[in-house]
Amino acid sequence: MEHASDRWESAVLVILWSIAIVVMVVRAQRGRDYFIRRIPGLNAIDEAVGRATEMGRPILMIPGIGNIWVIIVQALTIFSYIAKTAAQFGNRILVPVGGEYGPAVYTVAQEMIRDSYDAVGKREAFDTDSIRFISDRQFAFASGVAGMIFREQPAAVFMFGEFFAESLIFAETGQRVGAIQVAGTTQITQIPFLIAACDYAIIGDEFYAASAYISREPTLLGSLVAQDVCKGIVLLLVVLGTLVVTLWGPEAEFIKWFTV
Amino acid sequence: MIRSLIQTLFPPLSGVALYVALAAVAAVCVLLFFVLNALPGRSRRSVIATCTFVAGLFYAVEWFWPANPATNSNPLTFAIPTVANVQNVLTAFTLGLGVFSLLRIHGRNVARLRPGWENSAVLIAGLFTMAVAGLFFENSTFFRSLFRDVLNSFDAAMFATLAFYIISAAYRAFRIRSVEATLLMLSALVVMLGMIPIGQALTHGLPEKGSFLSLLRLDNISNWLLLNVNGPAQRAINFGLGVGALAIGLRVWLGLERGGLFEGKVE
Repeated sequence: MEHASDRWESAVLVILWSIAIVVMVVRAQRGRDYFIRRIPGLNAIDEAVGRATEMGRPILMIPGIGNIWVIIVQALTIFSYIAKTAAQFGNRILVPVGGEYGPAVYTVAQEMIRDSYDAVGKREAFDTDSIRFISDRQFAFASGVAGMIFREQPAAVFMFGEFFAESLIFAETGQRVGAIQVAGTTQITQIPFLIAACDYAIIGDEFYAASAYISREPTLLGSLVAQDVCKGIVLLLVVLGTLVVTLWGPEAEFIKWFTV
Repeated sequence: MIRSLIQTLFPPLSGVALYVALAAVAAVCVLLFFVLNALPGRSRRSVIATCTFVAGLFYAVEWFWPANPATNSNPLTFAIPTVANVQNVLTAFTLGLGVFSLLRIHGRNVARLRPGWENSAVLIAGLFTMAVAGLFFENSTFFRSLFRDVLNSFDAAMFATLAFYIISAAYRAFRIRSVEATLLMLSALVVMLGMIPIGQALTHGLPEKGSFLSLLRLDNISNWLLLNVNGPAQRAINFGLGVGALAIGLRVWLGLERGGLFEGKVE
């Protein structure tokens, strides 16, 4: 079992980053305005929803097969925004859920999407069956979603969350039916497939920036700026570590402060 | 001290006492469910935020509390597996909801003979067959055949289709439309050739190391690209992901998250 006392330098970094995040969030809540650069993939969300509305075809949102933790919470937050927009335009949505933790994600997704319809006053338009549990097995889920894509012919496919080998099956099937596809994942191994097969791919911590980018909520913007500050600290440590190794060699005593 | 206190309050049970305790806990959970449902929205969010904070506080305190070097544990470490099991229990509860959703949707398809009702009928039949086999014939050839010869085979077949999907995706993606696309195409070509025997055979005659000519070996160029270009890029992405996960985790833990489940300010 790992503890902070095993790697005190990691503990110091975590505390430093946490302070930066809380400080930036408080500053944002007090009215400080922050700038976010343009992220094409997130701009494309509104475009994709509009396209689906014009074509009269449904919107498919796939949250991946991960457990209920920060990634799925972020994915469902993005989907709740898309659901609000779809509800306002009267467009149909489909949210297939699967994987080992699919049932837990299914219950949370149902509540979030229902609340999204509530928020825009379209509670009666919410269809409980639009959120479906497919299977707890990875490829059974993949084949179920592929079949759903071929039958329902969605005009827009959004894939946000934790994906593994099934991501390319989703992306290629969506490509076959001519859907506009926006994908975002934290799985480094799947990013190349999503870039190759999807129209827009959101890489790395752009995924975590999505909720701030879409809502422009001050708390989220402040947190996003804090992430950049934290990355700046990491960059400084990398440069310092490179200089130290270059000047003193890899055997220097304090090199281990910069090693994992 | 914490461990002994908890063991005094909740001693291990067996037999009738265990079932009575389980029934009592189930009754308390049902009562809590109705109480939570009856709460107004703002109060419910406060309850959720408090539970989230306490749950996160446990893990944070356990990590920061200095561990005894001899045992690699602190007074809270003993509870980690038990707390982790709470999640497994909650997931088990939700499994029933997932199965209910499946049966409701596909049962309705069969009952109303909607297009494709035959597929729904097969799904329901398969679900019950597998459930019966797993519950009552777990150690039989019947269950092993269903699992190994049917389920695993279908999984493998779907996995195998990925090879064809990769080819079609690569055919569309690797087109020379810009400078970046050209670089991508060339590096992909070099890395692929460096990984396969026929590509390695092309530069097999060059020395493996210790010479300038070894830099022209396809497998060496391929390894260099993976270790010195691809690797640092992945590590950089991982740094961003780690920081992002910490930011979101902090926001959820401290009740600062907005949007979706966290709509509105927690008082």
